[in-house]
Amino acid sequence: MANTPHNPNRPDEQPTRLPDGLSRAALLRAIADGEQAPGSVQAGASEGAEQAIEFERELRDAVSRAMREPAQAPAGLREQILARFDAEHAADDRPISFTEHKQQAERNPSALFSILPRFGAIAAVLLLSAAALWMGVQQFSGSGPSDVQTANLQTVSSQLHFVQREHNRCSDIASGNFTSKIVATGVEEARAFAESQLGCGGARLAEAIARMDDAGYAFVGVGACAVPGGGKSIHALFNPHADRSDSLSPVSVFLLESPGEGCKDAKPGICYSCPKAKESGKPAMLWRDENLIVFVHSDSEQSVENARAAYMAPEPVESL
Amino acid sequence: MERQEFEQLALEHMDSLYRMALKLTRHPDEASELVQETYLKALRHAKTFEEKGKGIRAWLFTILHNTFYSDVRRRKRSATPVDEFYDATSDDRIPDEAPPVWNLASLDWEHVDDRLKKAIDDLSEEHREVLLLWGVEGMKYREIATILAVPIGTVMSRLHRARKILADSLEEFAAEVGFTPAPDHSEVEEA
Repeated sequence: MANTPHNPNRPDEQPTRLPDGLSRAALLRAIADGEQAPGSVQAGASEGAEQAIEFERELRDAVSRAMREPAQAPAGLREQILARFDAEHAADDRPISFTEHKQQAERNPSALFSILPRFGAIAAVLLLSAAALWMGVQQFSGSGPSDVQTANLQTVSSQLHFVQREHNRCSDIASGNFTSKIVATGVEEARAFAESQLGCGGARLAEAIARMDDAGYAFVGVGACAVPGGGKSIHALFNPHADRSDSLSPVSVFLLESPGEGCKDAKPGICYSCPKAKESGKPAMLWRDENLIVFVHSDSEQSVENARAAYMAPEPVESL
Repeated sequence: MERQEFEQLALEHMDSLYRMALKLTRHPDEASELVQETYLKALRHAKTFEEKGKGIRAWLFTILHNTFYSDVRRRKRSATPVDEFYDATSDDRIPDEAPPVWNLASLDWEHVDDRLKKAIDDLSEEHREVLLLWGVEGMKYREIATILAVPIGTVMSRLHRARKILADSLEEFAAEVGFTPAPDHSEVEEA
């Protein structure tokens, strides 16, 4: 009996070579599945065979309906995957002590941009941001570089990389990326959501939303995120009011339940920033607020500054 | 393959992979972890994938499948026997039992689907897996065989067995609701 491969649903694919000597029953199922042409078995012409093939097709449809759920992966899974990608990349990079970075930068500022060639300019931004954090810590703690700070460098880089990419991905509202992660769009909803996720920070977020409105930004919404570092985190997005869209840019605020290794040394009352990051057009700031770490990022320095002011965070330390 | 390109291509299949992971693990948290592990392994071997030139969907499913069963072995859980009747490594013993000939469309679909879901839940992991790839993802026998690393004949025998269990369940259901199908297999003439 000749097995003539045929799949009417996917004619572009290579034909399947089925095992020789198939039984009639197996051939009927193969016909029902589009793996064999109906004419490849004489029984296909009999009434019983047609009914059997029809039964198998209906069963396949029923199986498809029964197993189709869940139609979508849970919200936040994509972010978790991307966070692990970031962590993987950060771990791949050769650990270089901060002293090394600093010495290279002092000798040749451009050397700093060649340390992580895979990430190009973004890597430089992250590295400088991390360095800014370290410098801020140094300024207020007075301690020297240590292994812990080397580890921190990688983690903060990973977090900032994630924050910048999530902002880029979500600030294009038309893409639907942020819409799919929004949980709350009202002030009170946002307050309750923050409290439920982080155990604190709701009141401060609600106040910031009001002040951001005064500064020319509409609150788009807030949803769960997965910034690397452990613990829960949420992402709030603000868009300029229509009449301010030419002078302001969307701005993201990330609240992290856990500071992670990278930010655990961040001191309350200090805002960490990086002038080099500003120059590259990707400004970011971070500070400790109650038990949370707050990351702010935008493509506009003014928008980051507005968000900092709305949060009533301290003036940024600019060490580089 | 650059990371950005990899992310774009690979994450398109996240929903399908999660669906498969949930069917295998039966637990949302474990499914999420399995999908993350799958993507992480894929990222680490993205260049290998490029060199082999295989479709990324089948490749991701293969990684997920292998990761799940590696984990199962690590936990020393005994895998459910694939087929009691047929050797999983054999491709020359395809079941010789014709499909029923009664009309599923005459049943109440809402209840049929509920019955099917329960019957599917009762299947072994390996049968649920092949059923999902076939029924929901619309894969060909050849693709499924590649993902599971088994002969096409084994795919066919697993599918047959899974479908037989489901058909029997529906037949029982039909009898319960007073619909008497005519599963007269003899109507299918033998060659």
